[in-house]
Amino acid sequence: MMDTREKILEFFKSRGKSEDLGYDTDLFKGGYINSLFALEMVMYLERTFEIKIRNKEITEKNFRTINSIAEVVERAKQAR
Amino acid sequence: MSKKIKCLVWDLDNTLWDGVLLEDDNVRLKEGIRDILKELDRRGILLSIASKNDREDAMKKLREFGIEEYFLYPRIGWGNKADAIKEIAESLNINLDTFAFIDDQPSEREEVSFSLPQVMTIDAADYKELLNMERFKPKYITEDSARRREMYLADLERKQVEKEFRGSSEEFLATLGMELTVAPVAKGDLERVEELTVRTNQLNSTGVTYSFEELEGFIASPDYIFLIAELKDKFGTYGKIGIVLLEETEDTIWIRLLLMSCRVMTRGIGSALLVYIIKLAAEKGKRLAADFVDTGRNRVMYITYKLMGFEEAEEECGQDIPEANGIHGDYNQCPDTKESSRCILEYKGSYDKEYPSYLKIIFK
Repeated sequence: MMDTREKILEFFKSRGKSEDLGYDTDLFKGGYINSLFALEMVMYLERTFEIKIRNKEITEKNFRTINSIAEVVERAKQAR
Repeated sequence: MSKKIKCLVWDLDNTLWDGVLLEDDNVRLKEGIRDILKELDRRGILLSIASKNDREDAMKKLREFGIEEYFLYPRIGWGNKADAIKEIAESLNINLDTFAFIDDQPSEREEVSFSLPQVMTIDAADYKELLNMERFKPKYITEDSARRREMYLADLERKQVEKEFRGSSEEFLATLGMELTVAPVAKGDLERVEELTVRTNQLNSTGVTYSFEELEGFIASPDYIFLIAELKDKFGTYGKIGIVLLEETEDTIWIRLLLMSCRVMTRGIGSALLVYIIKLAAEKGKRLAADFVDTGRNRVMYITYKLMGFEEAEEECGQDIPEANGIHGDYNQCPDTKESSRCILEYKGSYDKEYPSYLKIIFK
């Protein structure tokens, strides 16, 4: 799980968006995430973890923090 | 049928002006050229230059004539013209098959045709015919057409600033001083509305295109709220870039269409418009729902809705989206499955959403 969260943070870093970003940071409040960025992140997650993120998983709640995104990834891994 | 010309590239010596600049500094603009440039600009046709000349001297002369401002990305030097035109196309991010090149020398025109057969070539001797040529007559001339050159220049500045900025997206966005003006669609906007519905793919919630008559119907109908949004920032205007079509029934506000030009991607405009719609639904005490049709290219719109707090409604996906007042659109098919996969998204979030702090919203 630690590994998953690190990989997600990596994505933010690669886009130069990781200042003050922790696993619990509210991504919406902090302006870290917009729709295009979210789309690119979903594609990155699907590629990196070899999973398919179902549309139903894409919600405000699930994408609020790196922690919650990591849980989405774990669920998708189980569903493989 | 050949596409309309989006960019005309000019040679200089004996094309734009009589004479050869380096032989005799005293060149004169060809008769009527000024008016022709002005009219092409008004039609939204971008202009550039590909000339074998001394760059400084040529730019100086253009400045002297007071026409420098018409030309974007002039390529003046000693390289070949086909390369120059290719560079211009790349800089403007416009397809070469919408380019035209005007030059007095047949050998130059042939050289361009050889490497770039998709570029239309025109003999400088025919310059007076330009405005009458079909390919130079755009179907619509909107307010945005006349501003096209300015918008390209503004975009160029923006990209430069964005590249150099270090900090979070929100911080950068705050430096832009953006203003979003939302107004009811007027009849004069319909050409731009049609243009947007036909040209916009990714930031389009349903991919539905409406006929002129249907659009006029929405303006007149008391059951529809039909809005158009313009975005400006400190560099200039982006033009009219967003459409909202809402249908109000007894208990629900339906977002029939939400669409934005790709030009404003990453600016948070979709979210801002949704905040407006959410506040409207709250004011009226009505349920809020949205049509969504997966067109195969608009996943970004789906994500915009979901991250805002919309969720798949209890109604089954694939159910017919209700017709109202007999007004409906033709649903595009998903290019992959040839089926339209539609669903209804219902707003389940809080009603106290705020507009993004970096955006000033003006309602007309």
